[in-house]
Amino acid sequence: MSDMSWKDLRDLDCARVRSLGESWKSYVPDMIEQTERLRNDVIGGHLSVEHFESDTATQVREHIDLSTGRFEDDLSDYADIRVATTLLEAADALEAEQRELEEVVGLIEAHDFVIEGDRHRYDVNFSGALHQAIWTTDPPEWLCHRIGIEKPQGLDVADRLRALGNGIDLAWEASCVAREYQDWLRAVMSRAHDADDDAAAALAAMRESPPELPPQLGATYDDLIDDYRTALSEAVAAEMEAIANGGSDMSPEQVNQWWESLTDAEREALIAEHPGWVGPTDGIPVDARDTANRAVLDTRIESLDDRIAAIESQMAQMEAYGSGDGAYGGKSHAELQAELIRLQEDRELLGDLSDQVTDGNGNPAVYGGTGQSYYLLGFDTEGEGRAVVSIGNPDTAANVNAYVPGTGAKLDDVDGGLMTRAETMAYDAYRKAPDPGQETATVLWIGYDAPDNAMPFRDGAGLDVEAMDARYAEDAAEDLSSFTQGLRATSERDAAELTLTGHSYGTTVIGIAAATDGVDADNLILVASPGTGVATADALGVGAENVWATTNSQDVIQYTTVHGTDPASESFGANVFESESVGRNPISNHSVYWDDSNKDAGRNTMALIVTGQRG
Amino acid sequence: MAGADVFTMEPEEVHQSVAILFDVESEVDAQTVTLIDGTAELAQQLKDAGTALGPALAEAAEWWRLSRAGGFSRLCGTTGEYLAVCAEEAVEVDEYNAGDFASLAGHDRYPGRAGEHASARPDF
Repeated sequence: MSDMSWKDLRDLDCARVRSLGESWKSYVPDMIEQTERLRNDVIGGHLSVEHFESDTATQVREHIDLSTGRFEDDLSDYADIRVATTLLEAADALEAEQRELEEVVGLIEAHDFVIEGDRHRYDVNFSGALHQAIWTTDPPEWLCHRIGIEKPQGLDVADRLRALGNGIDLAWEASCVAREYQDWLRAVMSRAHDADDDAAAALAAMRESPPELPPQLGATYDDLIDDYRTALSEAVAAEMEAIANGGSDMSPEQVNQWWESLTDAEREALIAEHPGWVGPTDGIPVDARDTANRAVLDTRIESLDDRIAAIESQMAQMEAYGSGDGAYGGKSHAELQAELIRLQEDRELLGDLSDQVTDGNGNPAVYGGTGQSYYLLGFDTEGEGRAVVSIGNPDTAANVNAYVPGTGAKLDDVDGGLMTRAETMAYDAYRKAPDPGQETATVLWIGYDAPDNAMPFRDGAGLDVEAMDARYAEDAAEDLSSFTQGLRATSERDAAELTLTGHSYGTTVIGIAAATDGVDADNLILVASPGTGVATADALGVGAENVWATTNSQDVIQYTTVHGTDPASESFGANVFESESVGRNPISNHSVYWDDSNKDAGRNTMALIVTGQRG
Repeated sequence: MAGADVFTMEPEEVHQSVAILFDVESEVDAQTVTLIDGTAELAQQLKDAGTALGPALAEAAEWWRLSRAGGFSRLCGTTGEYLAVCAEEAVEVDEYNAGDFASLAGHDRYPGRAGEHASARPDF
């Protein structure tokens, strides 16, 4: 586990880490030169059939070919994808945090604060000098400026008495600033520890169950080679399974490199035989995920239809011939009824999802507003259900906007209001595109278990408001982080603009993911936010200048910022833009941001951000 | 090894293959050692800095050197030895015995090749 202190991070030689990664990268072609000598000069040259022909000669040539192939796969899978890419990614990630660390530590020291406490949860406190300065009527100029008073000059007694009278305000303001820096420092260290742990896990995982090497020639060769060949044919599927189940610890970029290293036949076989592993995996290209997810969706629907028909048939028999309790899997009629309802609900949800992404002819459906196809990047019926659907292909689009909805979001919304919002954003990006050929893909990301309610409800222990609980956002952070990395890894455009747009609790999800695991985004748009878990935009790791916030004047959310500083407040430090309210109802005004009433204000601004025309 | 209904061999050509196999073995080992030495040095610095990456990198590099690059270079070496025995005997060798190469290694054809290590292998 990463145990870096902030000083360790500050002093880390990231350039050397990157240089070593490049050494591993360049080692690969040097080794391939050697394997090519074996293929060309030995198998195809001195040891060709022309010079050496017999059963054994054939076997030796095959053996050299197998050994060479194994080493080439190892060079790709381990030296390149695992070691080199891990080092290069770690160097980039740690260097980015180093830059932020330098900035925040500079501010901490310049303002006379000190860093104390545990390296996994630093505190930023007053230095003795700052404490003394405030309470001995000689506060620093920056602090006086923050509360709007003049710094006492010289030995003027009246000036100093005024400063003493402002002591509590000064101390309070200084503690607010300390808190901002503390949040920022903690976010930087959290992301740095996370990047370090991820890199270590990727390197450790590669050694866990590597494929065997070919047996060496000798008396036992014939007995061992068949086992080796069998294991070889199963290795790709085993690796895919480990990636899908989280056992490989590869980053989405590494998954993408691995996927690209497979042959067309291997990729097609994985999609056909294991679509459940391919479909949800970040780092696999969108086209492949879409094909796999549609196959899984069809299979799930067929399976549900079969089970529903079986239960209905059994229940009909029970009703015709008396109670018949326990006849079907030991279940009573009432239990079957309950199971039937659950299955029918799942069937309806999946049927709606299928209808959303598929047209009447069984082809991918097209959103009429922009002419873009829908892509299914993931779904799940567990709990409230999850779904990730894109309008347009993120891999080929110039811009990608992923919309993270808030409280109440669930699979059921894929054909409802949340998809309508995503479609509105897709349309806005289309109509505001700087040129007609510039495509924006808009993703509806319901990839997390969202809170069910924002209003108090009574549970067994008393009143509860799930949207006040940051746990839902914390649980979503890793998945959202991975999703953004996957989009970046599979994009065919190096300079694609990637935006995360959150609404309400969705902004908390984005904020916590950005501050803890980090998100690979160019812009964050925080709409009607109850807070992002941090005090300033600086702590979100994408640069405060790339953080955008809006809350209309009548929205109830401005009174319920329970997850930290209001991003639309001046002190948060984001770019604030206007959105129109409709009437004076504070509840309904929380949900008007994608209505026509906001088209010329907030919607236009969001479209300009998403298409890279602001900032 | 399987028997042969057809058998033709040009021993000199096979010896040339052996020379390439031994050379590849040696090149892979040498370049890998250089890489791993550099990796170990940085891994130690990263360990000292409290990173999780440092220890993981050190273990990964050693694993690569011994098990993967090392495994491949060993296969090049043993295949070369096997072929050398075939070429020297100018017959098909059904039951490969590394001891045969150990005695062959003392000849002028492969000077400096460590025939003395053959006895450490299970098929000696």
